[in-house]
Amino acid sequence: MRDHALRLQSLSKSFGRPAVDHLDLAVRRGEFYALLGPNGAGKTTTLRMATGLLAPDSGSVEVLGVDMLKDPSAAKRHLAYLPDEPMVYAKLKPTEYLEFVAGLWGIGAAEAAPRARHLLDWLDLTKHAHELTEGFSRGMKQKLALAGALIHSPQLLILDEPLTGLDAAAARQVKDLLQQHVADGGTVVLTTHILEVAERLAERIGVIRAGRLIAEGTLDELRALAGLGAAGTLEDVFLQLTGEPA
Amino acid sequence: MTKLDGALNGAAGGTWWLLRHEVRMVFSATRKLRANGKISASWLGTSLTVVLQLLLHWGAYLLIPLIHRHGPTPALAAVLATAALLVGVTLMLATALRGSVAALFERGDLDLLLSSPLPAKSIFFARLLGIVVSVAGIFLFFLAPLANMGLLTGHPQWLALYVVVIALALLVSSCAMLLTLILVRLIGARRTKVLVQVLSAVAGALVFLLSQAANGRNELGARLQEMLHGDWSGVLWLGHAVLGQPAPLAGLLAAGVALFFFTTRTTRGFFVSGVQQAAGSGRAAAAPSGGPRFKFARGLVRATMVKEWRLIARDTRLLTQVLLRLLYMLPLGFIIFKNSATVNHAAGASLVFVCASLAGSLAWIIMAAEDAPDLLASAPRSASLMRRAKLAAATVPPLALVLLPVLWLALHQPLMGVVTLIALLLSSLASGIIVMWSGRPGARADFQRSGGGVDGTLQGVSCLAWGAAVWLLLAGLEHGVWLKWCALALGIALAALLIAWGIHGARVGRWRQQSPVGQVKVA
Repeated sequence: MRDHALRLQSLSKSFGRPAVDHLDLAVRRGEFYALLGPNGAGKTTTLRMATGLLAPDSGSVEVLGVDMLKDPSAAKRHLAYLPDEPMVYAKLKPTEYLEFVAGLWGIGAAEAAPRARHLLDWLDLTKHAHELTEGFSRGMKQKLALAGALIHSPQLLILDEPLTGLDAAAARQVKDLLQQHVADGGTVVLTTHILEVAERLAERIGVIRAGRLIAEGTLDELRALAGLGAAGTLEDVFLQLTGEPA
Repeated sequence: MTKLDGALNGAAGGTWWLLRHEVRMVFSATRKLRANGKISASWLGTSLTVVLQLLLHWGAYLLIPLIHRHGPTPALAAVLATAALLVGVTLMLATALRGSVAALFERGDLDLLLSSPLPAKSIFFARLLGIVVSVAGIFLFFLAPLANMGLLTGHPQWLALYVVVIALALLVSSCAMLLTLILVRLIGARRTKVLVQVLSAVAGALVFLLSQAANGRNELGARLQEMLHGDWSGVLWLGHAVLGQPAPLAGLLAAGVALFFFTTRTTRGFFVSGVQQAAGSGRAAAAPSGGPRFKFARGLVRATMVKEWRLIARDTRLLTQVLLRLLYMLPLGFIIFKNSATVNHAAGASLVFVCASLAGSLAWIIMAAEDAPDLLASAPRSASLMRRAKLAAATVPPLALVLLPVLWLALHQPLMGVVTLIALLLSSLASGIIVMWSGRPGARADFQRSGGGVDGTLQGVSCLAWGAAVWLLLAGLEHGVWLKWCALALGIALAALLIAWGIHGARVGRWRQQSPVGQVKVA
C-alpha cells in the first residue's frame, strides 16, 4: 500500500443526509488525479476528510502510507491542501504569510527562504511581496495560497477548485506549477468544474455522484465506460455518467 | 433640485426606495448584533426591545413629574441640558464617523449602486440620510420615552427632544461625511480610513477621558458653576433648544437641514471620487529594491505570536477598539502616581481587572476570530500546541503593558507588587482560557459585539472577581479583615473557569464530528 499517495477506504460522512457514502479511492504516487462531480456530489467533503480537516463517520484515510486518523501530524507533514477560498491573512504581506506557513510546518530558514523566493518569482508575486494581501485580486490570493501550500515541498498536493476565478495567465501559471510538481515526483489530486483542465492534465479521473465513486479511469477508459467513441469529450463522458442534463 | 424632487418617491429606483434599503441595512446590522451564532433571535430581540421600551417609558413617566416638581432652576437646567447635548454630540460624532467610513470603504455595494441608472446624487443623499437615521435611531431609542411621556404628563416641551436629536444627527452626520471626504481629497483613501477610525474611537472615548481628567482635578463642578454664572449665552443657546424654546429649536433644525442639503448638493462629486479612490486603497506602494526579505521565526510559538501581533497592529479599527479599553487605564495612572505616599489598594486591583480584560479581548481576536482555521488545522501540529501559542500571543502584550506600573508598585510596596504580579499572570491566563474554552468562532469585524455572549459574560465575571480578590487581599493583609471575602471572590473566578470548562466539554463531542481529525477547533 505504500505506493499509494492517498487511499480512502469505505469513507462515509453524513450531515443529516449522506454526503460521502462508503467511498473507496486510491491515488498512486506521482499521479495527477482529478475528482469530478456535479454540485453537492461530496467532492469537497471527501477532500476535507482526506486532508484531516473533517473527521469521517466511518472508514479510513491513508496518506503516503500513514493512517490519518491514528497519526494526523505524521500524515499532514507531507501533505498540502488548497481550498477553493484562499486561506490568506488580509493584513499580512506575502513574505510574512510564507514565514508563518513555514513556521506551521516547522521549516527552517535555510530551506524555506530560497524556496519562498523561487515560488514568489514563479508565481509572479515578487513585485507584490511587500504589499498587504488585502489589496490582492482573487487570483493573486490563490497564487499566494498555492505558494504557501508548496513551501514545505509536499509530496501530496490536494486542491479544491484551484483555478476558479483565475485569469488565463494566472491559470496557466498554476497549471504549469502543478504539472511540474507531478514531473518532480509529487502527486496532485484536484477537483474542478473546468473539465478541459481535467481532460488535459489528469492521468486518471474519478467521477463522484451522491457521495459514491461511480466511475474511474483514464479518459479512454471513461469513454468506453460511457459508451462513447474516441471523439467523445470529457464533458460528454461526464454528462453521460452522471446523468446530468446537457 | 427638480430632478432630485423627481427622485423623491417611493417607487423602485427612487431616492426614498434607496433610503428604505439603507434603513433596512442599518436594522439588519442591529439584528445581526442581537442574533448570536445560528440561533435566530429575531423574536427574542423584538420582545426584549419592546420590554425595554416599556420600562424606559415607565421610568420616564415617573421621572418627568419629579423633574418638574423638584428639578433644577431654569438656568441650571439650561446648563445641564447643554452639557448633556455636548456629550451627545461627541458620541454622535463617533457613530457618524464610523458610518461615513462604512459608507465609503466597507459596505462594498457602491459599485453596484453607482453602476445602476440611479443618479449619484440620489445614492449619496440616501446614504447620508441612512447615516443620519442610524445616528438618530440610537439616541431616540433612549430619549423618545422622555418625549412621549412628557407629552402624556402635560409637558409637551419634551417633544423638542425629537427635533434636537434629528437636527443634531443631520449636523453631525454631515460634518462627519464632509470631514471624511475632505480627508480623502487631502491624504488619500487609505490614510483617511485609518485616521477616521482613530478619530471615531477617540471621539467615543473623549467623554470618558474628559470626565476623568475633570474628576481628577475636581473641575467638573467648577466648570458647571462657571457656565451657570458666567457669560456662556452662546453655548447655552443649545441647551435652550433642548428645553424646547422655539427660536433655538428652529435655529438648530434649520442649521441641520441646511448643512445636510449643502453636503449632499455640493460634495457628491467628492463622494464618487472618494469611492473610486477607496476601490484602490488596498494597494500599497511599490516594493523596495533588492527583492523580498524574509525573517523566518524559530518555532511555531514565535511564528504564531509574530503573526497574531502583526494582524492586530495593522488592523486600525480593531486596534483602536482594543486601545479604547486601554484608554480606560489612564485614570489609573492618576490614582497610582498621584498618591505616592499612600498607595491605593484599588490600583493593584484595577491593574488586574484591566489587564485581564485586555487579555480576554486579545484572546477573542486571536483564538475565536482566526481568519484561516483550515490552514492551522491542515498543519502537522497538535491543536494543544497551537492553543498554547495563541494563549501566549494574547496574554503577553497586556502583561508587558502593565509591567511598569507593577514594578513601580513593587518598589514602593513590595508585598503589594508581588501579589499584584501573581494575580496579573493568573487572571490574564484565566481570561484567555475562558475564551479558549467557551468562545464561539466569529469574525474580527464583530469584535465590539464579542462581549455579549456566554464567554464574554464569564470573562467579565472572572476579571471582576480577580480584581475584587486582589483588592480584598491587599486590604486584608493590611487590616486583617476581609480575607474570607477574598476567598469568595477567588471562588467566583474559579467557578467562571469551571463553567467555561463545562461548556468546552459539552462542545467537544459535537466538534469531533465537524472538526479536524484528532483535535478540536483551535477556538
